[in-house]
Amino acid sequence: MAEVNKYMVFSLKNEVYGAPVEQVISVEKPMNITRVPNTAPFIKGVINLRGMILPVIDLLSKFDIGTSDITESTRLAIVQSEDIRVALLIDTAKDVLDITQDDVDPVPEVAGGIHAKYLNGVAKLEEGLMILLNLDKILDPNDIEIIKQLEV
Amino acid sequence: MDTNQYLDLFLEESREHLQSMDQGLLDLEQSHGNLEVVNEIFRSAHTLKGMSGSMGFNTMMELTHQLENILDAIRNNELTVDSAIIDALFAAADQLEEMVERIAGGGSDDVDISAVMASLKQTSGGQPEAPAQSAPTDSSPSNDFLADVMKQAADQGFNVWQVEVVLSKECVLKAARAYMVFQIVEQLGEVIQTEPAVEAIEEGEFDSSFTIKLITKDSESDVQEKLLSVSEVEAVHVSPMKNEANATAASKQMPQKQTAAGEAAPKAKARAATRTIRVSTQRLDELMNLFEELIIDKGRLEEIARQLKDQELDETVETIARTSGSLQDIILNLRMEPVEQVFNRFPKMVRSVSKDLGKKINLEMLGVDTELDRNVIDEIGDPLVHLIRNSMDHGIELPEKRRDAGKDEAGRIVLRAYHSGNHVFIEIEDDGAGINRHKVANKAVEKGLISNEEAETLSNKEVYELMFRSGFSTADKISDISGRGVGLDVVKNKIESLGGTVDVDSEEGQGSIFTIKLPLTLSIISSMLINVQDETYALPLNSIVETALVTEESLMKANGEEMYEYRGRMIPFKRLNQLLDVPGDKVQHNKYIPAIIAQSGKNVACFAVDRFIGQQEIVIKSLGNYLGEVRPISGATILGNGQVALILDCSSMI
Repeated sequence: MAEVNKYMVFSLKNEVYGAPVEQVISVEKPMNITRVPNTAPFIKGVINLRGMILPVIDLLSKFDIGTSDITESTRLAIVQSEDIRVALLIDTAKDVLDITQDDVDPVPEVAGGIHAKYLNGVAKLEEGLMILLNLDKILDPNDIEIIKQLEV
Repeated sequence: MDTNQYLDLFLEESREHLQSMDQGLLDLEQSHGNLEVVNEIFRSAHTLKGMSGSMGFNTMMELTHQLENILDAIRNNELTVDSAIIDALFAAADQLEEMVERIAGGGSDDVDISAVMASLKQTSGGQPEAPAQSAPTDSSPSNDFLADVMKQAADQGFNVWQVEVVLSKECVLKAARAYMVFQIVEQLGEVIQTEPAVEAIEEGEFDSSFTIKLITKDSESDVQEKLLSVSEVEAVHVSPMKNEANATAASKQMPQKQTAAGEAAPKAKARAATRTIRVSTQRLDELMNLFEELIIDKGRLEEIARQLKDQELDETVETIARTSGSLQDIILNLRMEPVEQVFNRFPKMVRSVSKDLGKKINLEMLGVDTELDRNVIDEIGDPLVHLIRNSMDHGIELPEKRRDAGKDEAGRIVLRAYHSGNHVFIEIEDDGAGINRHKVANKAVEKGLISNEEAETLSNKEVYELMFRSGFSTADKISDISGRGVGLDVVKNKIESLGGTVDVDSEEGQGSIFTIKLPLTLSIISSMLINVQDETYALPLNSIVETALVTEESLMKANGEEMYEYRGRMIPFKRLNQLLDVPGDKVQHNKYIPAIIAQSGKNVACFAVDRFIGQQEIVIKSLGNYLGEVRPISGATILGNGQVALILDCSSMI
């Protein structure tokens, strides 16, 4: 019996992504984002989520494959890795799906322009492919330090 | 007995007793064997012995028992206090401390105590076992101390009565009756000695009578009458005691109990009992968090009230603001603790370090009851240790040198804490050699921190500031104590991370003074809100000197940098929209640019903004672990409208 994992499915610029459901805390409507100067470009700013200050990450910019537009339909997926909690910009949150490990292909070096280290794999669904995110790697604060140093 | 639930209590009380023991030993060294002090130490040791015994920590009990024996020998004048004894006692106290910390860390008290035990035994002249304590059998007063007290009492017009209380033979509850007698006696005046000991009397361990030596203003008959009012008291014999006889009849025995205030004016003194409860700091933190939420909501209400312009709403919001202000004072006060908690470890440290250095140093501590936020208390210890050690090592000279300079051989370090405005100041002042400007300047040139010209032109104060730069140390030789070059810059960083500043001043040959300035609280600050284009930022009020309106024409250029003349001094003029890369290009058509003059240490700069919003109390929130350090942002806060505003750190922008 192959391992089954639950993923929250969301779309972002015509691609379908999945985030491990146990790391997704909530999906919020767009709110005012305060820009933070002198930080990595993929940090869109910070928001006030019920008294907590959370950074907002633009995944497309983080993966270096474009930038997200913030519109009325934009949602914020609040995700967590260990003690780090951030908001991800997404277009629409769809569903929670069971993904059997058998349906997951390991990714080559780069998948759809995204570095393999940020991904858990690519799942084949009836409707097409779903890119499975590795939030622990994406939310690694060391990653941002490296980028900040490159900026300077 | 299940002792686990008592463990915390045991640890806490042990630490308290060890602390008072340390203090006592220091006093003992100063006073060369004041018996009152010995008694204090004895009491602490005795309590520790009892507690460790009942908790099953036998090694600890063994050591405290040995300590007790020595102290007993001292107070019986069988041993004279010399430095060897003091050292041995200190070593034993250190060992006890180690045990307690091991127990606290989940270990046992199983520490090798043979070395300490041996030195203790040696100091007691191979007489490890103290003679059994026996109560004085005669009615004569028992020692110099007693005689002294009685003389003072007589000088001040008090009577010293020897009161014999005889209980009826049928009395069953002797202890209870004795207790009632003591209740009355304590109202009458001061008990200086009893026979048998108070403990024994309160246990009812006497035949049918006991004797009390009492200092009081009441007459013989008054005392008699009042005591006879206790039922089952058959007779009360009151007789005067003569001072002359007392002074000569000093014996070696100490009274089992005497009031600690014995040497002060003998008067009935109510035991000061402040009623307190213990609350975990975690709960206080929760309270603080909830209160912060309230402050944010209060800000939101104020915003709504401004928009609606409804009088009743305005009044209510105003009341809420006042109440929350008082509430804030109380909550912040709850988190306050006296600096004594940090200071009380210094006397011992100064003692041992001055021994190592071969210097004579007296430490004076003033304002120990000054209060600081608990979080600051936890963090300020290390920087203070460093500064004190620095003063001991570099400040205070060797005794010969001091004598040659016409100073007292013993150096003096004053540790002073006090409140002023919204800050707490801690000063470390020494009467040592002071800072040698040339030595510091040369060193700084050598290290490449400043140029030769600067070494000549900098003011004394600016030269002293160089000592806080990293990689700076002027010690001629690297010692164990300081001068490893990891000194003052670390101190400075630590204090700045607490939102404080550190400053130094000195006069050569006269000494130096380090001043630490700390904010009263860490999480709520007064700030100035400003707009830069459409963005809102908060600037801590404590770094703002003043606000100004600046005209473009008044600005000057130096090396391509804009400068502004402020009180006859040229200061950098910086535009926040450029500094913070603020998007937007709304051109300001006003003649005047709103600006803020801010200060960090000695440096002053002028920051151009677009609009002043006003002053507001804000709650500091962290940007979180993910973003790490973002300059020049020190944190964020939530505004009345729910939006996040970033807090600017002036020191990193100047």
